[in-house]
Amino acid sequence: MKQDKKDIFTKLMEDKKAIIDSIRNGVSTEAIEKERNVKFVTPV
Amino acid sequence: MSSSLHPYRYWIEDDKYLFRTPSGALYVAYFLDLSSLAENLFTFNFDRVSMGDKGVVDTQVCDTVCTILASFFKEHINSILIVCDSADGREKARMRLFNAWFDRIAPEGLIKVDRTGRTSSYELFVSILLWQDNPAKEQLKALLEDYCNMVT
Repeated sequence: MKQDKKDIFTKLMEDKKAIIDSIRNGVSTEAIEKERNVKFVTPV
Repeated sequence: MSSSLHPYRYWIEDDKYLFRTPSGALYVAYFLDLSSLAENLFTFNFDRVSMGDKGVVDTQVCDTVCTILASFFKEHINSILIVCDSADGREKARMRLFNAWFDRIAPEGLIKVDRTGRTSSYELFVSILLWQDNPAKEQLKALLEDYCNMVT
C-alpha cells in the first residue's frame, strides 16, 4: 500500500476522538480543520 | 428510507449538524471529505456533545441520525466509510447499534460491507455504506480491504 494512503487511514482513526474532544471544547470548525487537516462538508 | 422516522429538528452550524433532545442533550453529526481516497467518499461520525437528563433513553436520536443519512444517500454516487475502534471500549456497542439502525432504515439497494481487524492495542470495526449501483463499488470495497490489511 502506498505510504500516503496508509497515512490517511491511520489519521482517520486518530482524528475521530480528537475532533469530538475539540467540538466539546467549543473549538471552531475552521480551527479543527487547520489543526487536523480535515475538511468538514455538509452534503445534505 | 422509512417514512416512520420521527427525527428531531436539526440545524447546520459551522459545517456540522446539531440537534438537541427534550432532555437537553446536544448531539453533533458531521461528514468529513475523503476524496483523497475515493471520489464522493466521506466519513461520518456523530456523538453527544453535552449531557441531558441522565437515564433518558431517546430513540429519536436514532431517527435524527438516520434522517441525515437518508438525505445523504439520495445521491447514489455517495458512499461512507465508518470506523469504530476500541479506544474507549465501546466499539462493539456502537457497531451493534449502527447495525440495528441500518437494518431498520436501509432501502433496497443500499449495502453495507463490514470488516473487522485487530491491532496490538485495539479491535477495529470498519464499514462502508454504498449503493449497489455505485459505479465505484469494487474500488470502494477494495479500499475497505486495504484499510483492514493496513492495521492488522
